[in-house]
Amino acid sequence: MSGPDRQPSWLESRLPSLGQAWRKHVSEYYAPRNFNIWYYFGSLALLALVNQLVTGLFLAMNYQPSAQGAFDSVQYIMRDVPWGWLIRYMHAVGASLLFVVIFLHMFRGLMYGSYQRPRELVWLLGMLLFAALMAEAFMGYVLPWGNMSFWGAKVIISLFGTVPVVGDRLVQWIMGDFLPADATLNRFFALHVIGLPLAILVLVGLHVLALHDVGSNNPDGIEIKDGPRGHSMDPARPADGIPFHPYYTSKDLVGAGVFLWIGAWIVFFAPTMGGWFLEPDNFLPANPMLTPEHIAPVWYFTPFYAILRMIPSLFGSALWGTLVMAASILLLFALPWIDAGTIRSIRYRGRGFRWALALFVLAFLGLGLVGAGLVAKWLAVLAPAVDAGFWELLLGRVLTLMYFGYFLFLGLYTRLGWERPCKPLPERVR
Amino acid sequence: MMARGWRRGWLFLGLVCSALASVQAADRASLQRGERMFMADCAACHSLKYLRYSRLQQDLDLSPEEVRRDLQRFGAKAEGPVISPMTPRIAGYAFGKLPPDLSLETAVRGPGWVRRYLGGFYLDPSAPQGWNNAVLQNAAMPDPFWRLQGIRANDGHGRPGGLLVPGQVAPRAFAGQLDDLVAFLSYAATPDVIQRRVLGPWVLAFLALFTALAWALKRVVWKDVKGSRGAT
Repeated sequence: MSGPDRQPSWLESRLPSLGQAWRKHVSEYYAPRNFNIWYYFGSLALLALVNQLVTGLFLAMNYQPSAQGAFDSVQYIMRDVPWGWLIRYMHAVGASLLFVVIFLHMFRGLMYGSYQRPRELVWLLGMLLFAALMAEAFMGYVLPWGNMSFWGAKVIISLFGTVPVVGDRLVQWIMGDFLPADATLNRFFALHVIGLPLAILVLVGLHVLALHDVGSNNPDGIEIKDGPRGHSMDPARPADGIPFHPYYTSKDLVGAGVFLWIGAWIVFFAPTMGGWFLEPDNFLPANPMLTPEHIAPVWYFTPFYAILRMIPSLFGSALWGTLVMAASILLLFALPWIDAGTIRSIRYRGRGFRWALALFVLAFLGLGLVGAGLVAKWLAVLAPAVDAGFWELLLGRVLTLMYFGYFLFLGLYTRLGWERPCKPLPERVR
Repeated sequence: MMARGWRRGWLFLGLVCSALASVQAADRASLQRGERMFMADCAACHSLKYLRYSRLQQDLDLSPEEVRRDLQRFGAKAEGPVISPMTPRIAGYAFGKLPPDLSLETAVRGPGWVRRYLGGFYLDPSAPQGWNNAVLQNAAMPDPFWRLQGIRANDGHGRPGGLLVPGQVAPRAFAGQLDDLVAFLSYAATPDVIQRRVLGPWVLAFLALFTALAWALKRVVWKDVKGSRGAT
């Protein structure tokens, strides 16, 4: 059917780029044959993104971006629009699941050194995507105009107020008012449905293009291009590579099925996920006169929010917390240059790296608990006599040091010759 | 053999379906009782502005007479929402403020909180209404169920204590009535729960089948890849 002497079809003779792109990126893109479970999360991120785009499109048909109408229009979607509840739950749950998938996807990169030479640009574009996704999620969270939308927007935008000299004017410029209000909601809606989705789609395209130009890494962290040639489908291709289609398309279909099953279970049986995906305070309409008891962001921002809270004001300025929080994300951008190691995969990198990565993950999760206010809550129950605020701060600062310590350790570890590979790199992927 | 296997399968499926159906019928009966209680004891002051009577009738399988009775009592339209006749002026005289809309109350506070609040009233002569509440101190609302649950004294720690006047209903029966009311309010906060429960198992069954087929397909496609399961 696809032999070389076959006549090109009507479409192929008029748009050969289509077939070329399909072959380059799908049917003749040779990926290592040893991908494990961690390699599902790239395609799942794409699936979750498509879910957000499609459900978001239908939500935008019935949502009203105004301080007066937003909250009511969300209830209108939930109750009066046919299948509106399903679409909105898919969008809200989908946002949280997209972050679950993205965090696991990024962790895969850390574990197998996927950011190292020659894949620095793949990582950089991915980090830009992460930053754009955070902005997209934040603005989407403001749109229902619940009380947590309002106060979350107020707190996050006020971070820009810590910038010296122009801070206050910057905050007003972002909000278009003195408080989050109609102007803020309207511009956030525009950015959420047009601006950022376009940027995200372009970045996804570049991320995949950059990946396909350098080729995929794998759990062994060695190049299949350096191994022997001769695949059953093409003698010139790496013997340890397999074409993305049909191998990884069929494999990713299984991952998609499992992911959709989990997502559907949440949507149908626990759409608020006990207040983690949709927070109780956001079922109250926005009210500038009623500050919620605890202002905490949605779970996926909590580690970064905790870092912000752990840094005290110094020299009469609260700028430092904002700077350190920004650094916690910017350092991830710089990871390909911080890590000067030549071995990629955790399988061969030695004990020091394993411990450091484990502690980094522990710090990230622990900061999440601190940021969500759970540590203070648990302390108040378990040890009512102690000063919960003090111990939360102490723990949070230790975890913050652990988080940043990872980058410092990795830089020294790979430059001062501390790295002792635990076993030699294999000749070929296993 | 085959026929008996099929018959057993159908029997099993029938049992599962009838068990699910009886659970759903019990849930619906509880929601209907809760709805009656809300209309009788709450709706004079509290609205459910996001819930329409027509939706109520459809979701809870109410009889047209029941709905007509509520519509006439509150002068409402069948397609309109549940709005209490309480005006801000009257509410101002009576309670100092307009009683809140309860459409999303259980979503904000949680059903457990609402239940504890409704059972948490005690007599407090120093409070403006003569009532106070263990869960929400100085609540503006008097105990709406004092006839049912009886009047209780302050136990000295701001909690309901000894019974001053016994209620018309035994405590256990009243607890059941509160369960019904809170179940109804939870439904009012997220009426989608009715559709979700019916549809959810089918969607999960479909996706499980899809995943199983995808897995079988993957095994066939991968059979010639070295080191993969199913490789020959």
